[in-house]
Amino acid sequence: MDLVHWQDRLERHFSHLRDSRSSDPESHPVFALEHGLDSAEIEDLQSEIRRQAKRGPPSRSHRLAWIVYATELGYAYEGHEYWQTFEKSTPGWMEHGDRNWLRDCFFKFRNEYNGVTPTGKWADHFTIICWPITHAILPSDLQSQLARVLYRIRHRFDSDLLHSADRLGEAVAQFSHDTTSRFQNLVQHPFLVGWVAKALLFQEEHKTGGVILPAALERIVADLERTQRARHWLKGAADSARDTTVRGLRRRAPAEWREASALDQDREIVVNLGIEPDLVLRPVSEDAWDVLLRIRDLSPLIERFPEVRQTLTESRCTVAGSSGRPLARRRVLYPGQQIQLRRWPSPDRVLLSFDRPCRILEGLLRTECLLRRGPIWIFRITADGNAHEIRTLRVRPGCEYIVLSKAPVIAQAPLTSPTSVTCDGVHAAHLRVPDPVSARAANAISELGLQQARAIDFWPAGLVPKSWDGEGQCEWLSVDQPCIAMRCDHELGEILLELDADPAQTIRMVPDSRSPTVFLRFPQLPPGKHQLVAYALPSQQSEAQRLGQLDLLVRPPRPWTGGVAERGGLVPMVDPETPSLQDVWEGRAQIALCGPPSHSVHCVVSLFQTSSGSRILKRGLPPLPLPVDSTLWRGHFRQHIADHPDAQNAYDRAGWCTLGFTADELGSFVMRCEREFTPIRWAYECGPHQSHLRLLDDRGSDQSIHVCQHEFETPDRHQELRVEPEQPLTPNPKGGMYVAQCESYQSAIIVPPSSSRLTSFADLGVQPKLTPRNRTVSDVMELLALMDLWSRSRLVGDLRSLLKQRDVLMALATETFGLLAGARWRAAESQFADTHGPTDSRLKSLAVEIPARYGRGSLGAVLTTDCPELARRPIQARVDALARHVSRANIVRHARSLVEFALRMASCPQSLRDWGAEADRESAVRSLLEAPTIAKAARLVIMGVDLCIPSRPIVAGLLYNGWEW
Amino acid sequence: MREIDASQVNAFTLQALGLDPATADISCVEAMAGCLRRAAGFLAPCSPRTLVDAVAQASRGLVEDEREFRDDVQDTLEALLAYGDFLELEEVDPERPGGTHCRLVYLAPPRFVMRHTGVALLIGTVPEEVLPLPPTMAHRVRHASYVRSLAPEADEDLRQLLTELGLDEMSMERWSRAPRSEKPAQHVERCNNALDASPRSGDLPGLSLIDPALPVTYYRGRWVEATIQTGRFVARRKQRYGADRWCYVGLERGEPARSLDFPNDDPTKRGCDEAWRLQAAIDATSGTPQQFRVLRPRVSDDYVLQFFSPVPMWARRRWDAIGEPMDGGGGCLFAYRLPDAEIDEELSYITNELWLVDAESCN
Repeated sequence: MDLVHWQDRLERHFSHLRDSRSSDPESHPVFALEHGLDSAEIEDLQSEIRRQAKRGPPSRSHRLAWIVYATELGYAYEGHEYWQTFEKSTPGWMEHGDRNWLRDCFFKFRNEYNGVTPTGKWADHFTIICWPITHAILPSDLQSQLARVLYRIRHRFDSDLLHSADRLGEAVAQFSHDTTSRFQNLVQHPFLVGWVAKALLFQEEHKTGGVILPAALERIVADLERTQRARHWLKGAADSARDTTVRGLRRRAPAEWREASALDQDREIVVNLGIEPDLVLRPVSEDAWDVLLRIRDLSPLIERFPEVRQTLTESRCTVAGSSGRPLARRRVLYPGQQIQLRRWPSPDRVLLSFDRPCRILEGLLRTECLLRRGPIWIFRITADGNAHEIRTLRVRPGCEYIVLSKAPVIAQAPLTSPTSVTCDGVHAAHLRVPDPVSARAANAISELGLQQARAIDFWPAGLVPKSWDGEGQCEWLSVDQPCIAMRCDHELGEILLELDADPAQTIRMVPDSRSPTVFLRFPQLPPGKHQLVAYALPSQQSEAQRLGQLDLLVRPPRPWTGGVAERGGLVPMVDPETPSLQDVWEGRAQIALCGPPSHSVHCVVSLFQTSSGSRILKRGLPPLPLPVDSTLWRGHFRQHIADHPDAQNAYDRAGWCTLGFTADELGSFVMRCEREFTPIRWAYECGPHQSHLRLLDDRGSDQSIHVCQHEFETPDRHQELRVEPEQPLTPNPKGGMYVAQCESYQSAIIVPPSSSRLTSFADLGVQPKLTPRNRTVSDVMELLALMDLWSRSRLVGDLRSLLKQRDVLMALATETFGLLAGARWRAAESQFADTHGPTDSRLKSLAVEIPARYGRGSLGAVLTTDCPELARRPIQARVDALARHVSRANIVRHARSLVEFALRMASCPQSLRDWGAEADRESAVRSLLEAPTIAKAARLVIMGVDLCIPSRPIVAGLLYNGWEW
Repeated sequence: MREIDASQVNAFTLQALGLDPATADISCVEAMAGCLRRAAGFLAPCSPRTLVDAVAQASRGLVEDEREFRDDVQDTLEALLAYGDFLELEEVDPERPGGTHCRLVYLAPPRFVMRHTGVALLIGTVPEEVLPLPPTMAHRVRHASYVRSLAPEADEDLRQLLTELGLDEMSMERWSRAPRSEKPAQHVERCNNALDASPRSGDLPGLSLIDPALPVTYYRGRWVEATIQTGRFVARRKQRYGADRWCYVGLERGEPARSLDFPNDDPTKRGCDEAWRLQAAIDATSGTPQQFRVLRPRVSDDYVLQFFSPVPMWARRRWDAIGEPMDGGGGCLFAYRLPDAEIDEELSYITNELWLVDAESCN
């Protein structure tokens, strides 16, 4: 069939589809993938298009055929260069084709047939290829990921969620944090994702006419089910969805919510999520206990309050009262985190603080994430030796407890003996409750502010609950139907049991004195908090007497979908959670592995070609003993992979890589890291005699690209170059940084000098000469921009690129602090660099330049003395300490943020982006120009800590040891 | 919400664990193993005692003898550690990368080992789920004692299916790898040399030891408190939190002179395995070797081997692979059913590698 006939057929088809959906109240749009062609017909159409492309420019009279053709390529698209694939598959397109023409065809399709319009941040950036890819509905490489996320959230389905495409799409987005960047792009359109998800979950309904043409849906399902894992995931999710619909399960919305204000409603929701942390005491010796704060999984917060997602997933959290060392990003999204408290936090302070403040999150955490107000806290010692917090403050005869109190007198109280905790600000005593409890003992218990447990005893029966405090608080999964046992310690008349104050969930009974234990079975309870209350009904006239209560918290389970399981012996900590190929290769990804020191971990790195998917490199790395921190990993990867010419050549051809980690019995996991789609990028080919650069352009725009080169010797000056995309460029033999820029896109690469220029060790480094600048905000900001550009550039070649990058950054940092702190400081730094010997004598030249009075000495002298101690502490604790010193020296009060800025600038300029926006940076520079002592103090601390820490492998962009932000 | 009786609690619990209430009850090994896996999925990493306590607590009012039940849960936990559903490791704490010297129970990652029959043994535990498999496959899993296995369906490539589902395959050789062959006297001498080379020991609180003079047919009865003994003993020390520490200790009138912590040969191995092996060697060299019993049920071609002392995990895994663990009865600690075709080789293995003797020959 020729293209005219294809066009006719598709016109009829899409017109019919549009008309059939015109009565649809939701006005479901039409996708080009809903073309209704079978595989043979698609092949035929593709052959016709290719024939036409060779002959001449595409014709508007064939535009529907072109749209279907482009969409089919979008369906098979795997996130790499779309246009390169398009051009390769369509000989003649380069000569005759026009990307803008194709986009216009999609515009017209949208207008004529109610075609879908791409939306979201991704669509704003990639204004042409977003059309064929969005019209492909669910490209092949994303299908399995959607099935996995649906399987993962299946226990969270309720009828409201399944009814609303928007809500379902948002739920998918919230639980897709470990998916590829392409999938993240897809979920920027929650309605579309929710819609496709609904179609996949309820395929039977959609076969008879749903929101997606049945043939298109069947094709997606068939492709998805090619892998058994995806098939099982989809089936598991679809079964849960069907069960939910049949049971009509809805989330509980207590009546009072309807009356309450929005803020109160939010608080009520937070309380129901059960995110309140609890305390556990662990014995460290015969008479001392560690205090551990057990943080709950905060992921339910994201589900209910999507606006806190970014903070919870992208920023690090510090626990009040801990060592101050921030937790790795996303750690709060997993259960079972125990953090040792070294100081007892104030009850008014939110226990978790994030390095990117978020007012909404802070407001929510203020509801449930504070330490319980004292004055007393009680912990029951259990069979495993730990002591668990009893929030009800009830004690039982014959049991032992640890009592914590702000007042020291507690250890002298009757029934108690002294003990201690490794946590400042609180006192501890060991309490032994006698059995039976005499009147005197009862009085002593009461004087301590405690109560005796009531006559009724509840405990989980049969199935082990998720948690149980031994007294009256337990946690279950939403898939459980919990059973509990109940026993009274004396004979009672009639008992009334009431669940959630719901008259339909009430039981009256008279316990049988011959079998005093009563068993109850609850229905499957929706996620949230529930309460069972027992009342004694002594006679018809008297009032019911409350006997006791059981608090139940119900959570959806977290299904396992591969990889190392939580709670195992190998704990990977990867940031970002799904790093791109570039993140891994260029050392931006933080990969750390926790595990017992008795074990080692092996890693195999494989690179796969973009177009064919074939493996182009496989290399096993030497084993590393556990634990592995991110600096060690980065150096290991660079040494054994990234610095090797064959690997560098393979990298530019690769579309993705896999890192397979194996730690024997501890398990294994594989990270698949895909090349992040970038509109422009440099490719580097390292040959035996000559290297080449190639600029790859996938913008789909005709606007020219501005290219320039910076030499290592003159890093703040550049020379403009004329470079054609795809054409090889021979780098300057001196090497340097090449920057390509167009619109808001930028790509930079650092190339080493040619090998022939390496004649001595001195050639490994460089002594840059910078243009003189003035002590102005704009000149300092210009230097910051240069540091940012140099530190974020991709490094290729060998170690020389890394060394030269570091020398350039050092020179820029020295110049920046020279401007901020003045000529004398510049000279002092120069003297410091030329001195050798013990830390304090080396720092002396710097310390004398910070004469601000501090107690009986100077700030410089105090900081010099403090450096060894600061080196042992986490970075944020160092920031706190320096801010305190600066304040006490009466330089600036409340300068923590400014101190952090100065420390980041001096140690790792690229981390300034995490500190704040450009306007904030400019304001900070202005403040430092006004208070240069802070800049000097920061610089001294950076250098002092560096001297106190054993030397580690060089990390790209990091100027000093011990300052990985 | 409704009132139910104890037998219904039993039945609902078994159902939730994927077991058949008609053929099992809450005190059978299958149920105890299921409860332990569930508890570990919530509580790990934790002390072994935390798990035993959680399971025992939930069984209050459901079992006749709560003390005996707790012992049985302890034995089942031991079996699950040996089998590989759990791992006992030094504490892994990202906050304290240097370690805490506390040994805790962790979940082992989901894996499978292919038997020569094509049946896959499922190993490992995932949190918050009964199985590391989709619900659509749960009905195919066979539970026999603490072992869970999956037989292939017709024309099914089970290995590929399990791999696709995210389970790693472990080869049988690696899973049941045993240390090099050794004579008992050589083994004792090697341990004595290591103990001699260890520094003098201080006080070891909470020390209990295996008394070699007590009958080898009742393992629990051989444990005694350290009082006035003199000599060298396999022992363990209670920890304030975490698993007990196994050791080889030299005592002088009950006071520790020297102590050698296990594992000593290989830090990745379990301390108890080295301790049990040494005790078997001590018993063999002192003329009271540990014993096993061979039974042949009338209605079956299989043999039943009963054991009265624990054996290292690599031996148990060997029998998990070729036979089936079972409730032995007759006062034994554990038992295996082994096929007729394997029995000769296994008897030779037990005698030569584990240094055990047939109880019949001792009578």
